[in-house]
Amino acid sequence: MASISFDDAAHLLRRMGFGGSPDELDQLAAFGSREAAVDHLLNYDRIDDSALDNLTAQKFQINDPPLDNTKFNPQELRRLWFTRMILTKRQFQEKITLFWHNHFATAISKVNQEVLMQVQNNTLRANALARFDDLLLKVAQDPAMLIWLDTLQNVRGNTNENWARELQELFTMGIKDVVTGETNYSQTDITEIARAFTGWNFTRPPASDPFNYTFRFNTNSHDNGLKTIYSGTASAVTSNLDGKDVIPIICNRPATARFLVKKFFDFFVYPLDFTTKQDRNTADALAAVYLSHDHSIKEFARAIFTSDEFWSDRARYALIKTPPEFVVGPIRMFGATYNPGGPTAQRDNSIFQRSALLGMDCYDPPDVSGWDLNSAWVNTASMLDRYNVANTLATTRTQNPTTQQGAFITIDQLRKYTKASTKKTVKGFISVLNVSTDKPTINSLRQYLDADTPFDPSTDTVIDQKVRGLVHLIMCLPEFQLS
Amino acid sequence: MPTTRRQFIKQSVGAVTASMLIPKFGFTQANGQSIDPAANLAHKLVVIQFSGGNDGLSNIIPYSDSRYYQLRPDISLQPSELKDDTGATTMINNDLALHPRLKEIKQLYDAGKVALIVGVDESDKQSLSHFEGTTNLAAGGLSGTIPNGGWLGRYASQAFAGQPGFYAAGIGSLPQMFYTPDTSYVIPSISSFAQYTFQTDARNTRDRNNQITAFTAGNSRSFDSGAFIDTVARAGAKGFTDSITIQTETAKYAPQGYPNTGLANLLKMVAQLIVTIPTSALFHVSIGGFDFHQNLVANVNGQVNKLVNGQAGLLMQFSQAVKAFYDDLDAHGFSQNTLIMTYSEFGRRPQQNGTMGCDHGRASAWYVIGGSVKGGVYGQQPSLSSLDRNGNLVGNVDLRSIYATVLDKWLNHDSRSVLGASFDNVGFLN
Repeated sequence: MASISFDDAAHLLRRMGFGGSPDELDQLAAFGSREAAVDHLLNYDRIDDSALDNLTAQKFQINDPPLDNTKFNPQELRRLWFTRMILTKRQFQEKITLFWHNHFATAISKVNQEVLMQVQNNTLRANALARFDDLLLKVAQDPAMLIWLDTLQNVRGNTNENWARELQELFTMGIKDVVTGETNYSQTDITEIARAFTGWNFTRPPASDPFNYTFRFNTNSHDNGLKTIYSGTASAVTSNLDGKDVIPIICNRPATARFLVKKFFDFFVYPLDFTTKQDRNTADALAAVYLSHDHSIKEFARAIFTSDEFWSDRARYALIKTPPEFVVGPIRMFGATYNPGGPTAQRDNSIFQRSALLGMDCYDPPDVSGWDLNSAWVNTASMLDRYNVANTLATTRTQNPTTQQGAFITIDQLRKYTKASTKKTVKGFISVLNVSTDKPTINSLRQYLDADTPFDPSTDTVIDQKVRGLVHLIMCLPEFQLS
Repeated sequence: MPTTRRQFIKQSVGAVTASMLIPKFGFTQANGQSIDPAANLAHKLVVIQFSGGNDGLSNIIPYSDSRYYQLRPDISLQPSELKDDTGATTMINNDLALHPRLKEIKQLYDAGKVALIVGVDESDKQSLSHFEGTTNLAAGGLSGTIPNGGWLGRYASQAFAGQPGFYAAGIGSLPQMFYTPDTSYVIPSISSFAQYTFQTDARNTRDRNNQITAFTAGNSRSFDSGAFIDTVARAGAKGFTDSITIQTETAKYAPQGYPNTGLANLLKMVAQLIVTIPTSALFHVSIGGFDFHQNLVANVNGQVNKLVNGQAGLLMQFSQAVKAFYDDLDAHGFSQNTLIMTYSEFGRRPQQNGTMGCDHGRASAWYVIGGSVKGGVYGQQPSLSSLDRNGNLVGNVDLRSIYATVLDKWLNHDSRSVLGASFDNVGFLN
């Protein structure tokens, strides 16, 4: 068992969640070992989240039938999810749901029904750590996905290849094996698998039970003929396959296991470089965990978060923050003072809008490949947007955060970490915001506090002006863009 | 010979030195050859991406070919339908016609300002993946990855690195085509002029300069080249520097007369930059939605309508936006020295599918438009009788030859230094 420091806890919670306050990090470090801390975050169903459930029940009306667009709409869909991200005690649950949303990227711009997007989000959350086969089958039968990739139009004699193609290219294997470079499937496999998924459909629920969609198999539009897939490989099959038969075949291919390692590493650890033997070995070792643990995502995730790779120096600050991490992270690091507003008035839409501005409008990915990660978040416009979002968070004041909707850094929170000296003040805030930087940068921040008049934090006026400026500047540092 | 990364870094250093000697527009090409900066900067390039896989057969219609009607019984356009909303024909010769919603493009074509390139293809090995296709096109090669950036990112690095000033931008997004081979040169991305600014505490404005001083110190440090932290610091510093120029200059001209569509709004921003910032030279915009697995031809209230939504809607948006942009540039004296080119990651299958659409295919049609273009049809219309083993069109114009033509003949830049090999001149420029 490896011991866990405060900085280790911060690293772990930035990756398995969105980040935490110094108190939360102390509590996580108090588990005593990295394995125990990972186990705690992984078994999130044992963590009491009733405070969040009670709050969302008060602040949202999505469950009130009959469906009413004033009660539930695309804005409310997003307000609900970001409220969860900011306030949940089950941080990994929301983080991995975000991961799966990016993996099985489905856009409301085509699905066009917020209820179906919520149904899919619930499905991803409920099955996030299940066997991959089970999650994939739920996704394949999910109404939003059936619409998004045209499966509803995929019928006997008139196939539509959209789902069959992306199932293989984006959701499971990739065109080529990420490690060996071998081609994973052919155009024939796409055509044959499209035939296997013909006749997949869904039944709409009654208005009294608006989220309870059920899968429906239309025998009449299913192509029950023989299909041959993966001819010439170890997975070759000829049979009158249905989609349900295809999924376990794909999930059991080593190429799928290696593809999942790549996807998890890009999002949670560091980008792998498959031209190096070291990273090929990493992929093979973790792919073996997936294959030997019955495709359990939970055990796969446990192996990743307890791996030497995850805790290595190479992994520290090795990812560029996603927009939700950039937007939600600092709120949580200051102790999550957040009032989502609602249910009917004064709804806070600012948080999801900030994430959208920075390039990740949840529920509306640019295309089925989801959002590209890391350096793809970075361009001159998105960097200016990050600085301005940081400025908004740092400088939006409130007299009463319990009654006013929105996210704030309160004067009490600022006072808590402000010390008499500029050095201790700067070090305090860079620690709260999980930044590690060099001495010249610390000095330039100290000079900022001392500019014009020597720093005297004995009055709230100085704290309100200069320390808010300091928080903004720390969030503008290159180091803060990294997780 | 392909430019290796090491060579490139060395060459960039050379370019910086040159810029110190020649303060304003002069610069030295990567290989040390001096090029005519006036000729280069005077020629502006605006690239329009058709994202999703543009169906070439819906752009340039082979109306004389009976196979076209056999393959597309429901979504083809009959000869009687090949006219615009004023009744003017959109046929361009005895075999081909433009889509009826390309009215303004047809007018520009008749004026000799449009090159239609048919049968633009990548390779018979292509996966017809949107993502691999877009990356391959961006790279300007067939590698499937872009370790050395996109082709226009390589060009821009060679042409502009080390030069202070504003030369290029992705408008609306930063395309892979504009990825630079290393972090020594950053191409900006602009989505909104109003938001392209560095804000500080509105309640403490006299502290703004102090904040800018500390911000600049934090983001002008040197980091390991290529590390993520270097990427973010350089993008941030470049964004901040350009924001001052952008705020000052774009306020001087507000274009009028554009339709209120996504593409027109982006081209309007491009025009604003071209008119107000003399060094402006290279832009990219994108219009999405071409992935018509279904409803390439729309069903409106139970009736097939070939003139609204679907492919028709996107082509109309393109046609109207380009016309407004062209006219705006023309009014400011820029139509002769601005070249517009379109691209798409692939075409679509000639055989319609069961949902009034077409699945992924090969060999799309691209447009090159501008006052200096030699108008006409380039390439051979792909045969509808001899398709490849997957039922797709076989093209005859290597897309890299279009890049090479633009680099050599328009940007006066040796295409081999960008593409790593020589390609034929397609001939649409003098």
